[in-house]
Amino acid sequence: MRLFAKYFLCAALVISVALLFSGYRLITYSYENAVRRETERAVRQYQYDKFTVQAALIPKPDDLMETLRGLAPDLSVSGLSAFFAEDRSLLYSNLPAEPDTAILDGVRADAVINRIQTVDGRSYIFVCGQITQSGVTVYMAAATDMSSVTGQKDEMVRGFVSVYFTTLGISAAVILILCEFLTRPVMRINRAAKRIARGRYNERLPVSRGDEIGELAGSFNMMAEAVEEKITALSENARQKEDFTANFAHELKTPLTSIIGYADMLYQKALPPEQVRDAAWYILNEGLRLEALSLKLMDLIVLNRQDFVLEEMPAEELLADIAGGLKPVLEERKVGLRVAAGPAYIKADYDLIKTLLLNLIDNALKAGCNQIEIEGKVSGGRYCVSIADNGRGIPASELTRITEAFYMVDKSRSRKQHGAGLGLALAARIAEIHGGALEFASREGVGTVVKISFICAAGGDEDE
Amino acid sequence: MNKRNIYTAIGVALSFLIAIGGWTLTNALIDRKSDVLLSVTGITHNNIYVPPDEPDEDAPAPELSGEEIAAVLRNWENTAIEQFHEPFAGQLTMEQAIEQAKACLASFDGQGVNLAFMLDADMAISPYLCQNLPGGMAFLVPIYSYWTVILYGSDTVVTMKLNAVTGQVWQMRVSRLAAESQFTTSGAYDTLLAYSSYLGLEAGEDRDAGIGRDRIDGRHKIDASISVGDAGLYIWFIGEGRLTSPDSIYAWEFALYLTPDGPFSLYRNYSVDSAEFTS
Repeated sequence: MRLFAKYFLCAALVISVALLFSGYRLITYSYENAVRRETERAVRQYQYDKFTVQAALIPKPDDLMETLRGLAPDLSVSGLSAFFAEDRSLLYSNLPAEPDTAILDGVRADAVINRIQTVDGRSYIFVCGQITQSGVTVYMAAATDMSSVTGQKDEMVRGFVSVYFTTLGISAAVILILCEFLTRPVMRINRAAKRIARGRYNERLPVSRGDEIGELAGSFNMMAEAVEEKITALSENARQKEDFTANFAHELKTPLTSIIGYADMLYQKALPPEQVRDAAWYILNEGLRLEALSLKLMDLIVLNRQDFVLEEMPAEELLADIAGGLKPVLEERKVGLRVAAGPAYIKADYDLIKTLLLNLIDNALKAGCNQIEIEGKVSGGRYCVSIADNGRGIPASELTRITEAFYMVDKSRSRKQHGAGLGLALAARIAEIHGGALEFASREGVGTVVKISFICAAGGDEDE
Repeated sequence: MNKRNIYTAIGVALSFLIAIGGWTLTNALIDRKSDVLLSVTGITHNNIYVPPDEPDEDAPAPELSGEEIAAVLRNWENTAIEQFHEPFAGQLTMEQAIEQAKACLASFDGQGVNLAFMLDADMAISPYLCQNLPGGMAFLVPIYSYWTVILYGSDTVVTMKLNAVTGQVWQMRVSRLAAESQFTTSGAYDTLLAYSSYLGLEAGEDRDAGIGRDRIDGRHKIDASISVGDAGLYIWFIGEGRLTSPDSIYAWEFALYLTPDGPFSLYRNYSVDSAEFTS
């Protein structure tokens, strides 16, 4: 049911009940008072008339009926009366219809009866009593026409009907207009919601009022904001998964193609030993690449699925330990390493940190550097570690994507070095586990600096 | 959407039903109430005053003190509702009241304003007995009731208020429409004496016949006052003549009031319609 109809139904009920109740009370109260006043007036008039009749009876008239006939037009409010003899036989009457002696029921010498009766469609107040004077007893019934009272009541009813229906009509129009004003902002919100459902996630409502509708609009905007962020994140996630799958399939296909090709060649042909050796080398090489790929993939999967408990450990010892393990490899490749780590306790997982640093250093080596510097210091409540190299650098346009799985700046060079494009993805995930993120700063031809911050544990010194 | 429109139509129809049905029901209730009101029977009892003792009907009318008269007159001037009633025990009957009224008129014969002529003429008499009951109170003691006897002559109307117990006329208003008739100062004074004689009062030594005459807009106003007796009762008399246009018929009217105790000087220049009494 439309809102207007609901409001109208409620308003009709409330207004109807209120109006009808007050109208009923007003009309009946007024009518009751009018009847009571008219009755009191009739009774009072009767009492006065009684004196007049008594005064007329004092001289003991010869013709009682003639006397009563002469008095009748001046008696009662309406000039209508009837007289009965002591035996209740009718003496005289100028009432519109012949009265029934039943109207004298209950009349006593010390009491006057008043009752309302309808005669020929008109209502009359009959005031009846016994009059005794100078040995003569008569009963008098004085009639007062109360058509004016009943007519007034009918007029009030007619007037009330017009007021009642006019009020309802005006109320309906007012409700219609009010509904229009009240539902307009709600309809606006409704349209905005539909636009969002159709894909316009950047849809927002202007909030220009401080009432409940304004609050609703504000909440709607918050919800739209959250929906947009979620949709964006989900879209990004879906895209990354798609890219991951595509890259994975591609990375898998490339070595397999070589392996199958060389294996087929060995199978199909009788090659000279030199070619057999070459073929075997290619198969081995690609096999090793596949193995490295699968191992790194496994690491990534494990990292995504496992909850890690970080332990407190001295950062300088950690870095020194890792650097010590790398020294032989770096010396062999004639790459210099300098480690300058400030003392601090950090919350970390030793193996993961080692993996992270190894991946970053491996990347630095692949970038062709000859000097690597590892620095660690406390800054802003966290322990910041930076790994700087003087390799070929990373183009600025590539910096945002280098932590994506399988993403390689130079695919051909990476593959030669058995790279799969998963190292930085791993490092980024490890950084996430430690409550931080990898920050890259690079200039082509100069080198790259990678920073990561760790949570300081108790006992860490603040450097800055 | 269709369902919603159907419900909307039902809602609107229901609203109309409530409006019209409600009115029909209310109308029926009003008619029912009207039927109830028009079938009411009421009963009004006469003479709800019950005297504390059994009255002795042969006992003479009591003599009232000045304070009692003052209290009764104060009540008579009250604008509260007149309540008609049948004579209580000890009060005059209608016949007795009419006789007393006629006796008062007869006492003016030959003195001041002649009103006795009305007794000979064919006049209509309208008497009624009532008491002033302020605020719908129960009836007061019988001395507060009064018989109002109105005598209608051909060109004179005399309205008298008699105390229902003593039968004395304590207020009288005479209105006469007569050509070539003028009310004079001496006539007023003689009427005053006649009235005091009717009341059984004798003029005291401290008579102050302060009489003044004012002429305002064609009206003659005559004020006269006299202090009477040791009871401290003052009879106050005002005569007023009016000249009405265009026929220049001269009409006169005088009122006689029995005033209670009070300083004489307060009532020197007073008008009929705004009499005020103090105890």
